[in-house]
Amino acid sequence: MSPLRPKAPHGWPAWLPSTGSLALGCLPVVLVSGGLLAIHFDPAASLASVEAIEEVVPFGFLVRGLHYFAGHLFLVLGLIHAAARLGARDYRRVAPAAWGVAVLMLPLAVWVMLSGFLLRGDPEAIGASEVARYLLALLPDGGHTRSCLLGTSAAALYAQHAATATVLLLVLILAHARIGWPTAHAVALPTTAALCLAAIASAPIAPQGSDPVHAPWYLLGLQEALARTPHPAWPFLPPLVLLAWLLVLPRVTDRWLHAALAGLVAPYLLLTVLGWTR
Amino acid sequence: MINPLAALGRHLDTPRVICLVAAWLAIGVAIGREVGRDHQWRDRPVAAQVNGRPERCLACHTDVTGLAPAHDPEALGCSSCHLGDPLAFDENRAHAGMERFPGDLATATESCGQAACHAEAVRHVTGSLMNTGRGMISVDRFCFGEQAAPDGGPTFADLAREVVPTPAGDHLRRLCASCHLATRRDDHALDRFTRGGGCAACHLAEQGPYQDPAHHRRLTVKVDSERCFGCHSRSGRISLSYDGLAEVALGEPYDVELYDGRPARRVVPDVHAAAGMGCVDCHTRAEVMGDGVDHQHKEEAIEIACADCHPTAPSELTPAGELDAITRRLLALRGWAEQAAPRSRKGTPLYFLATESDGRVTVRSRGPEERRWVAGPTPDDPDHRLAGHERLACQACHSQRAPLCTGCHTAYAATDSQWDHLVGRERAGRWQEEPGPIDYGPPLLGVVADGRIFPFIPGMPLRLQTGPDQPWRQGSYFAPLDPHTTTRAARPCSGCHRDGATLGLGPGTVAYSGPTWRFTPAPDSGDFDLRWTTPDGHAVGRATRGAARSFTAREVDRILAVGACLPCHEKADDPIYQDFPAAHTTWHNGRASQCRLAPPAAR
Repeated sequence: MSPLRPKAPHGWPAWLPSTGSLALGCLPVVLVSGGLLAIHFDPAASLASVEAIEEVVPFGFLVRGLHYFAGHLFLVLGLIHAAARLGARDYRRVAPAAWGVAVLMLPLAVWVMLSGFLLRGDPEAIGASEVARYLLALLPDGGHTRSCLLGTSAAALYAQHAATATVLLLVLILAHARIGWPTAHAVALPTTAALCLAAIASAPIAPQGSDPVHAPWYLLGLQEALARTPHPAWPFLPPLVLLAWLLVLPRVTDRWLHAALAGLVAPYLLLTVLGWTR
Repeated sequence: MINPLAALGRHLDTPRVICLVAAWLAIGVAIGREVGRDHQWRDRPVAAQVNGRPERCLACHTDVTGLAPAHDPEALGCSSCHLGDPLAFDENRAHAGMERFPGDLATATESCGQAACHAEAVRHVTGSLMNTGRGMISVDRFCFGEQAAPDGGPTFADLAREVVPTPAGDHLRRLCASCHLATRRDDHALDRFTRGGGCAACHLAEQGPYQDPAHHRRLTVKVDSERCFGCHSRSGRISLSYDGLAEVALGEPYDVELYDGRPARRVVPDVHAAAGMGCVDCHTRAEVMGDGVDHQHKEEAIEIACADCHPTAPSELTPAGELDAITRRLLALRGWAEQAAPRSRKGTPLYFLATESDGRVTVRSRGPEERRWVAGPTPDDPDHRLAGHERLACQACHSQRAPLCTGCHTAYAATDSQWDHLVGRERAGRWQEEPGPIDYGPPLLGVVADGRIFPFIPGMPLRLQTGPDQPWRQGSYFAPLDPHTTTRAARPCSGCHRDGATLGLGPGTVAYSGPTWRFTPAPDSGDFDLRWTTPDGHAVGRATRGAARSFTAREVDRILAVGACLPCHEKADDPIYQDFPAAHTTWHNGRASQCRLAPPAAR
């Protein structure tokens, strides 16, 4: 497996680390803030403990905001990084296994983010949890996947978010990045950005009786597609096709790459906008 | 030498400086937010830990007053009774699922009746007659011809599940179910109009409108008779009678206008009311709140008896150390010391009674006021030893009067609408009652299930039309009732032994020709037949209890036969009453030389 050492795009400021490095730089603050939150978080009374962190714990709002915004920066920067690398056709230059690791990080990162969203325990999280359970129950595996991912209690989900899925993601990230630790710049910039956002804005908690209930922004398109298709399995086909397509990309010609991406991603973005404005 | 300014200048355009400035600004903003934040949540949970969890309700609902220590918000919080989410930080979430009226039987198992509080009481209340209404429902359905016997009927909960109510079910839902204990309250007012609310129906103190939310209504075990009055001033009108009020028909002279506009005259109150006793001074917790038994009628639930305070023999006492847990808890709530107590006929310790060495009984009030009364034992005199009177209940002689409704026209109008108390909304259809004059007089007598002779009143004498095209049906029904009009002086002997109406023969006169009595009915004065039975024992009316009955022809004859002797032998200690059958035989054989009535042999 050859290491990824992408070249910076033309015009990229010399002092600014690459998006991949910046995404990696989000991880220290996510991990540290997550560790601090774990002191006060109670999966058995998730919403109450989240509210207590916000309202009772000194600087709890700041720590939770750091965790929330740094996590989102990680996802945003990771997606930009992935889009940039796809545009630079890096899949041609790396070993298929390394590419596969990079591709698998995407759904894993989304799952880690989603598990954090579900752990809030607010009406949006409860609604999303019910939808997730319903959808996973459709899989022809006798509920095995549902049990593995969601468990039967919030504690199981908490274990996914705080340990299992996160550790797996970190392993993949380290295997992907092939560096031991991000540079000081790469850490400082997203940390500062997250700090600024956490200082001026609060990580959300949906109020009681929220209607409509929104999925997290990165799954809004899926939520909207679910609402518009007659069978709940259909909206999952395009992402799965896209994932499969990305996995086999190094082995096939990329003649239809842009068309495929446009054909799958553009409708998703449109659905996301529709879901946002609903 | 390094110039610090120059060194700083070299770095001014670097991202590190930008990051540092931004980070410090952000930290400053965060500190400002932290300092400027309302710290109510941080302070209050420490002060208001309830069962180990923070009770954040008290951060907004500060300084709530009015509750006694047993329900102190600092000890129980708000959510223990009012439910909701005590951990929530915003009003909407905190109040989601909140019970505004704790004690409402729909949620009572989660509020008053939760395991650590009054679980057994709520279980019993839910099965009590004040909630099931079985007796009322059975009798109503019986009178409507919907069930063969006046026992074994459904409950209000069963009625509420009826998709299409029967005429009786509909009648009950509109005219009777408001007194159902599970009726949902819709405000905190507390007056004679308020009904239902489960536990709160009785245990809230302080009459009047609810004005100050910071002042919680007091919860009390010292239930005021006012709480009983609203429901029990109708039908048998025991609250009215007890207080010395007699409802009269509209248009007749009256002294008092009742809370609901009914006119009433002042009459002599019950001797216990005159002494200042309230409902709960006699009636026990198990009677009123249920005892875990699914009773059919109220007399089955009653355990207190006149003889508990006016014993005929020394009571057997339960030692203080052997009192049950509920009794000890009640004593503790009232701050009373444990002492030996007599037991009711069902075995409940009557902890409010203290038997003195001279046979008198001290009754301690369980009402709002701290009072005591001393009751004497039932006199061991000829009146109370009179042979043949063994089956007489105390109320048969010591009830001075009872409401004797002469009849009620009850008709259903499909085109109108009326409130349905079980669903809490107006529904099409209306039951209209046109009551006839309300008469008052000594109650009738009849025989109840245990064989005792007990007061009865006309219960639901009605002409009934279940729809505009339906025929009118008529019925005469007689219900056992303790009229709650007790007097020290008993009704005169002639009130039974020379009075046909008392024996259920209806209005009329009893005339004697020698020893032979003859009953002459009064002219028919209306469309209601007020007879329960006839001299020859033919049943005209029906009892509202399956096991109750009117006197048989033989019993009527034996009772009225005594009436022939009463003009001369009016005292209970008269020798002829020591063995009346023997005296009668003596007279019959012509050996009672001083008797003014000629014996058969002489005629």
